[in-house]
Parts: sequence; structure tokens; C-alpha cells
Amino acid sequence: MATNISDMPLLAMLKQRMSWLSARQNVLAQNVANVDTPGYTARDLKPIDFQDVLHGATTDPKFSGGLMTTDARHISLMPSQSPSFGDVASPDVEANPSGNSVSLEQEMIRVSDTQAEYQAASNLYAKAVSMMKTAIGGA
Amino acid sequence: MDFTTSLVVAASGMRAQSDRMRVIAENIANANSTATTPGGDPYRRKIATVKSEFDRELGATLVTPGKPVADNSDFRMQYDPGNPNADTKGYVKLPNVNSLVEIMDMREAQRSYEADLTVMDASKSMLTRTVDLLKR
Repeated sequence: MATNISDMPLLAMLKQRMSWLSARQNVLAQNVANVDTPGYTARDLKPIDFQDVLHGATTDPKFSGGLMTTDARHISLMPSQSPSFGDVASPDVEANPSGNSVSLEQEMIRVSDTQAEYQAASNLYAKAVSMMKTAIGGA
Repeated sequence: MDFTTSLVVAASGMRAQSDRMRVIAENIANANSTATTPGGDPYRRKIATVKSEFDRELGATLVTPGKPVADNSDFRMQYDPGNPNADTKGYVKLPNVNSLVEIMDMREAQRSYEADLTVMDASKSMLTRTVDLLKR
């Protein structure tokens, strides 16, 4: 059972998507800032696994990998509660003589990609909330 | 949601690039600065450096401008016996600044600065969209 609104499957999935995109934006900002740093290797986040998210968001902790909590002091292991995204080295181009492997063009594409996907996710979030408002009889 | 991190990182990149621009401007301004003593060394070209530094508090890799290093290439020699700063053979040492190289460096710094600005714009618009969720 969802305990609060943001734990609802749809909203929880969107929340995770948005945190992932925001974390990716941080990694991309580091790449762009270090475009002239000798010896810097471009990094990127590992793509999010849709199956995992779907599984974590839609199944009851009783049946999935999460632990059931029967006491208020138990630590819940719901997958959606601790989003942490690992970043890996992913050189855009062959490293130049100074050892830097950031390509500004690649990074710009990734940044606008991230921005567009974030826009999509936040629109979906707003839509879901407005549907919920309709359901509870709000305006 | 932590867009401030990416804003801070982009800002650090912009600071490093503008520091680099300052060094390039120094080089261009001093492209013809000779020594004030006969046979002395003129202005020596500086090379701007950047280094990356992991900020523990922020949890991200920032860029910091490093100390400019001297360019140890040879000075240009010009035969100008009338110049009060000429050596005994009549040659004046001119700085080892090549304006073409400086313009190239300047363009590169400009391009990197613009890229940082784009990232900042993107992060800011994502942040705005998040705040806009409150409006509905």
C-alpha cells in the first residue's frame, strides 16, 4: 500500500526518472566544465533499467526484493526510496594529446536530450497530479 | 533534485575560462613589450592552465584556474640598431608571443565558455520546470 501520494507507482517512477535526469545533468556539467582539463575522461550515468523501476514501483514489497516492515522502527528497503545512480567513464572521443576525452558537440547533444526528457517527465507528472485532482473532485 | 550542483560546476568552468582569457589578453597586450635595458629579456609569454578538483562538499569535480606557466620558447630577434634597448650587435629581443596562437586560444576559451553557459541555461530551465509543478 502506498503511504503517501508520491509513493504511488506512477509518481514514484516519474520521480526516479527526474532524479536520474537531474543527476545526469550534474555529470554533464562536470564534463563541459572540464573540457580543457588535461587528463580528464568524460563520464556519463549508467542508463536506468526500466524493468527494475517497473518492478520496484508496481509490486508490493511483500513479493518483490523489498523487505516488509512490521514495526515503525524497521528500516524499509523499498527500491524507490534510495535512488543512487552510478556514473561510469565514457569517453566521447579518442583522448587528445593532453589526455582529455570530452567532445563539446557530444555533450551539447546530451544536455539538450536530458533537458527535453526532463520536460517530458515533468509534464507527465503535472498531468498525473491533475488527473488525481479530477478524481478527488478538485478543479 | 539538485540542480544547484550543476549550476556551480558550470560557473566554475566559466570562471576558469575567463581567467584564461585574462592571461591571453595579457599576452596580446604585451606582444611588443621590449626590455627596458639594452640586451635585456622582453615580456615572456604566459600559458594559462586549468586543473580539476573534486569538491567533497558538493560531490562534484570543479575546475579551478591553475597558476599561469611561462612559455620557454625563444624570443623573436629584430635588427634595430637605433633602438636604445638593442644589444651590442644591434638586435632587439621581442616577446615570444604569436598573435595567431593567442587568437586561436581565445576562440577556444570563448567556445568553452559558451558551452558552460548553455549547460547553465539548460539546468536553469529544468529547475524552473520543477518549480512550475507547484503552479498547477
